[in-house]
Amino acid sequence: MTDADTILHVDGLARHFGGVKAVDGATFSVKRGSITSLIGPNGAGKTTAFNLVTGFESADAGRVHFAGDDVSRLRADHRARKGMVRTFQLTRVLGKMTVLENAMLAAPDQPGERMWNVLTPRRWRSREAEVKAQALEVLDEIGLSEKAGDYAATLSGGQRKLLELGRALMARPDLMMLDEPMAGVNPTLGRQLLEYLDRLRTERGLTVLFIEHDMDVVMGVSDEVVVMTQGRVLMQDRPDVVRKDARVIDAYLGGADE
Amino acid sequence: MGPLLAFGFWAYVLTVAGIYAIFVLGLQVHVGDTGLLNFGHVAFMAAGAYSTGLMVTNGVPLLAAIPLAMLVAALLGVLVGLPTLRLRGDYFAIVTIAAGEILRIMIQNQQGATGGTLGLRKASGGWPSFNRDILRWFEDTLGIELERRVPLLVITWLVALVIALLLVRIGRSPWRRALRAVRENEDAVAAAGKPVFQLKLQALALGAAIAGVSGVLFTLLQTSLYPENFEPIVTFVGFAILILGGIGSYFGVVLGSILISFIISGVRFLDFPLAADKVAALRFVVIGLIIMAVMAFRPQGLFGKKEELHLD
Ligand SMILES: Nc1ncnc2c1ncn2[C@@H]1O[C@H](COP(=O)(O)OP(=O)(O)OP(=O)(O)O)[C@@H](O)[C@H]1O
Ligand SMILES: [Mg+2]
Repeated sequence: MTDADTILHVDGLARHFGGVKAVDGATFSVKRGSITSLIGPNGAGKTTAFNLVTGFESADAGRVHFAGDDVSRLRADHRARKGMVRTFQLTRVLGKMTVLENAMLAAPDQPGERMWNVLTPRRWRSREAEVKAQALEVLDEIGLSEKAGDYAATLSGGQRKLLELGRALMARPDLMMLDEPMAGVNPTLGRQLLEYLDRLRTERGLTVLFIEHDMDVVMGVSDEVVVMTQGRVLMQDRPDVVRKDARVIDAYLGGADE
Repeated sequence: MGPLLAFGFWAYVLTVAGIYAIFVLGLQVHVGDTGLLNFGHVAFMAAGAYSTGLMVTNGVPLLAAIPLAMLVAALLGVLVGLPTLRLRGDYFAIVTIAAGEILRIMIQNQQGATGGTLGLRKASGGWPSFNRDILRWFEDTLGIELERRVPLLVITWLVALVIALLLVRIGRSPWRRALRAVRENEDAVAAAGKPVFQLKLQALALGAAIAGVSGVLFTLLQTSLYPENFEPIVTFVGFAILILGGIGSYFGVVLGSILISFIISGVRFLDFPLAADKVAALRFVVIGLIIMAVMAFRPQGLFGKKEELHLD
């Protein structure tokens, strides 16, 4: 079911809240090295699907395969360590920590994060220096260098979105799952960031799955588009195919949402 | 007003202050560093105290009993944490109060082992005779006649200092950064691939072990242990110290402990036309007033960071 080309395969995922079937048997997959977008009207279940895939909410049914492994039972932090890192539509920044600390937190393989290493800095100091340098680079890339020493709580909504992205980048994921990363971000910077992600895809083999409402962006950068409505996946295909599909036009593109 | 002048009395008060300082340094790890609202902190002190007492009354040498007592307190932290740390913060807070009370009532009911309400006597084992040796050595070799409470006073504050310095050192580590991140937003930490649950469990165990140390010193000070020494009010005095000193500041903890201990002891010198038990109750009124005053006039506490107060 999962071949080497598929990094993520989601099968029959379901979750209801009371009577609301937020996700109702969603099945889709993401090709390794692709930029795939997840679209659909408000309330279609996109964010819930992200929560289920990344383990932030538990599914009523369905399976999640990541890089060949069934990760359906793993906790969220464990899935993230396996290389599946997400951002949140409603940003979650560490308010009383600096922007730099927010970024540094996400770096993997820091032995100093183990309790028994805290009193032996020689085991983690050099890694810490690396992490700091990387974090500064990432902050530069997302345009937050100036803010490095400020509390994250002082950032604007758009800046918080950027910091979420920065944190995800610091984790050096194989699959980056972005929930409306461009919302509230100025379009020029947004485009630059997409180019940056594209570059990471070539350099590191990064795969991107992102939720986005801006159809120009979606059609412009995606290799594939997954369309959700009412908790189900309506179709998954190339953008030019999706754009012309009568059901998609009916359910989303021609609808009142855009 | 005799006691006002008695050095021994103030040495006692300062020792209690040092014990509180250690107790609250542990609480700071939970509340200030990790955001764990632990309302049952006194349980870890009780665990340290009673395990010391039970070991030494059963023939374990004091020096061996002390690290074991810390371990017992840390294990109690893990035991309380395993089922509760996955709960939302406010549920955790409620469960910790209950856990503290359960431990105290268990101690009270295990009369055969703990002496119950009659107390556990000679809980400090070889300490009193060791203390006499120290005093005699000072008198014989240095010609200094020490007040009998001074050695423990000095030891207590040395221990407090060492723990505070260790915490400051730990404070610069990526581990503590991860703890603070847990305090700020658990989802963000999990999304960054950090094991939130383990981090909380580790913080709980560390803070509990520190509280266990305060229990050991308390045992040396009192020599007899009673369940009523470990009522929930001890935790709340701890919170008063934390709030007064400033959440997040280790130095604030030290100063807050001294201030609150002197206030608690000082109230007894106020000349009120009240029965003794009412004067005792008055202490808690005073502590309540202090917490309210701090909240109103200096909500960040004496050494907290004001600029963090309005951030979220
Ligand atoms: N925790 C929750 N409790 C109750 N209902 C929820 C919860 N989370 C989501 N829902 C419901 O599930 C449905 C799908 O929500 P979801 O956030 O996944 O939509 P979405 O596709 O991300 O929408 P948008 O484009 O507006 O972000 C909605 O009807 C929402 O009200
Ligand atoms: Mg959404």
